[in-house]
Amino acid sequence: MTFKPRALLVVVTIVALLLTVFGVSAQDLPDLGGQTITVAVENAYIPFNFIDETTGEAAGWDYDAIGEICVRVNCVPEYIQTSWDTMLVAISNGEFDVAADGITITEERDQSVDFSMGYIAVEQILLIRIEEDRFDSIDAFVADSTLRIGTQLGTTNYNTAVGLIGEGRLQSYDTFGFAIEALVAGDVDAVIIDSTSGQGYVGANAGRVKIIGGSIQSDYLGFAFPEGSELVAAFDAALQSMIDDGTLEQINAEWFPPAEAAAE
Amino acid sequence: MDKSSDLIFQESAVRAKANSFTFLYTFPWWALILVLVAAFMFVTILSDTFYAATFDQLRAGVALTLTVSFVSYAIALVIGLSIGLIRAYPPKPAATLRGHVTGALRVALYNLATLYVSIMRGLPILVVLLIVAFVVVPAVRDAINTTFGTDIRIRGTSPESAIIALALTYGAFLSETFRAGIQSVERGQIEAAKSLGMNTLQVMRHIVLPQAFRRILPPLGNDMIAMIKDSSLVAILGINDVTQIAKLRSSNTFKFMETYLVAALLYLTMTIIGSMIVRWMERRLQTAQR
Repeated sequence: MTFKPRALLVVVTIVALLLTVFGVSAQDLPDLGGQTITVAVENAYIPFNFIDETTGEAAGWDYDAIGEICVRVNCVPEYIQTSWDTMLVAISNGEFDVAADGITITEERDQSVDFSMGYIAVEQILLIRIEEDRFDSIDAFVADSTLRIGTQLGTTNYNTAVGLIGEGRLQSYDTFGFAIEALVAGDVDAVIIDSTSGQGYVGANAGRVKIIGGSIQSDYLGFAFPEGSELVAAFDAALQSMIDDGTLEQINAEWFPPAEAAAE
Repeated sequence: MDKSSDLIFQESAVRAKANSFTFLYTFPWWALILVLVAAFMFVTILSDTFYAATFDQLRAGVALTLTVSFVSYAIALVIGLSIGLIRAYPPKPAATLRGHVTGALRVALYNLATLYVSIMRGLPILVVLLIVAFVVVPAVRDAINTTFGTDIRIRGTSPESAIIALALTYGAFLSETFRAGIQSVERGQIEAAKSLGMNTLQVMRHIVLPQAFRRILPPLGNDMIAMIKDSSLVAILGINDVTQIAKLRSSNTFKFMETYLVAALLYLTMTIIGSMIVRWMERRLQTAQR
C-alpha cells in the first residue's frame, strides 16, 4: 500500500471539524440525549405558530426557534396543538414539557409555571380597520365610550384592555383570529395585541387592518415549563448561544418585521 | 291454637316488613344526593372567599344565558310549529285548475320547508353559530345598509346572532316534533270535525293542535332544557354568558376546578328548575284532560 498524503489531510480535516462541532456543544450546552419533548402550540397565533395557508402545514417562529434549540441541546420536539385558554394550566399540571405561544412573562403566571429567559421584548398595540377615521390615537380611543376593543381571553392583552377601558367595552374571543375577523366585520373597533403578532395580522390581512398609536405596555415573551423543569436551563443555554451567534436575530428577521426584531 | 291464624299472623308480618322496605325502594335517593351536594356547594360558596367571588362573577352571566335560551326557544317554537304544519300534510295532486294553483304554492312551501329542515338538522350548532355571526349577519346588515342607505348597527358576534343561530337550529328539530305530534292525531277525527261543519283552521285550533301539543309536551320540555345547555356554545362569540365568564376567569386565575364547579352548579340549578316546570305543566295538562 502506498501512503496518500491527501487522504490523511481529508481525514484530519474531518476529525478536526467533528471535534470543533462536538467539542463546542459539549463544552457550552447541556445534552438532553435525544429526549423527545412535547411542545404545546396553539396553531392560531400568527406569526408564532399557525397553519400556513399555501402549504397547509404548521409553521411559524416557534417551530423554527424550537427546532434550532433542539438541534443545539439534542432533543426531538413533538408538537401538540391545544387551545390557549387551557395551555398554561396544562403546563402547570405537567401535561406538556414546554409551551410555545409568544407567552408574556408575568409575575402571576410565574407563580404557577417556570419561564425561560425572555427571548424578545414586545409592545402591546391597537389594530384598527384600515378605513377608520373616528379616532387616530389611543387616547382618543379610550375617551370615546362607544368604541369597543376585541381581544383573546386569558392573554395579557385582555388584562391591559381591562385596565385601559374596563370590561364593559371589551369582548374576548377564543383566538385572535376571531377577534380580527370581528374587527373587520365591525363588531369591535380595535383589537389589542402584541406588536409581533399584530404585525403578522397586518401582513395576513393586507389592506384590511392597520396599527395605530405607540406602545401601550412593554413586556418580554418566553417559553413556559412546568415548575422545576430541568429543561429551563437547557433552553436558556440554547437561547443564549442563539443570541450570541446571531441565529435568533435571523429567525426573528424571518418572522417579525425588521423594526420589531430587537431581541434582548 | 289452629294453624290458620298463625299463618295469617306470619303473612301480615311479612307484609308489614315489605311495606317498610317499599319506602326504601321508592324513595328518590338521587334527589337527596343532589340536594345535599347543592347544599354543600352553597355553604362552600358562602364561606370561601374565592368561591364567593367566582359565584358573583358567574352569576352575572345567568341573565344572558337565560335570555338567549328562552328567546331562542320561543322563536324556535314558532318556526317549529309553522314548518311542522307545512310538513305534516304533504301536498297531493288536485283535480281542478284552481286546485292546481294552490297545489303549486303548497308544493313550493313543502319543498322549501323540507330543504330547511334537512340542512339545519344536519349542521352542528357551533358551525351554524360561526356562520351566522361571521358571515350571514355582517353580509345581510351591509347589504341592507348600502341598498337603503340605513345605518343599522347589529353586530355579528352579539347575543342577537346567537339567538338567530340557536333558533334556526332548534326550529328544525322542533318542527319534526310538531310534525310527529300533528300526524299522531287520527284522520278520522279530522273528518268527523269537518263533517260537523268546521273549517281547516277550526279543526287545527280545536281538534288537532290541543291533542298534538299534549302528546309532544315531554319532548318539547326536553328540548327546552337542552337549549339551556346548548346556549353555552355562544361563548365562542365572546358574549358573556355563564360559560364565557367561566372561561375568562379560569384562564386568568388558573383555578379551573373551582370555576367550573360553580358553573356546573349554576347550570344544574337552571336545568333542574326547568325540568320541574315542565313536569308541573305535564301534570296540569293531564288533569285538564280528565
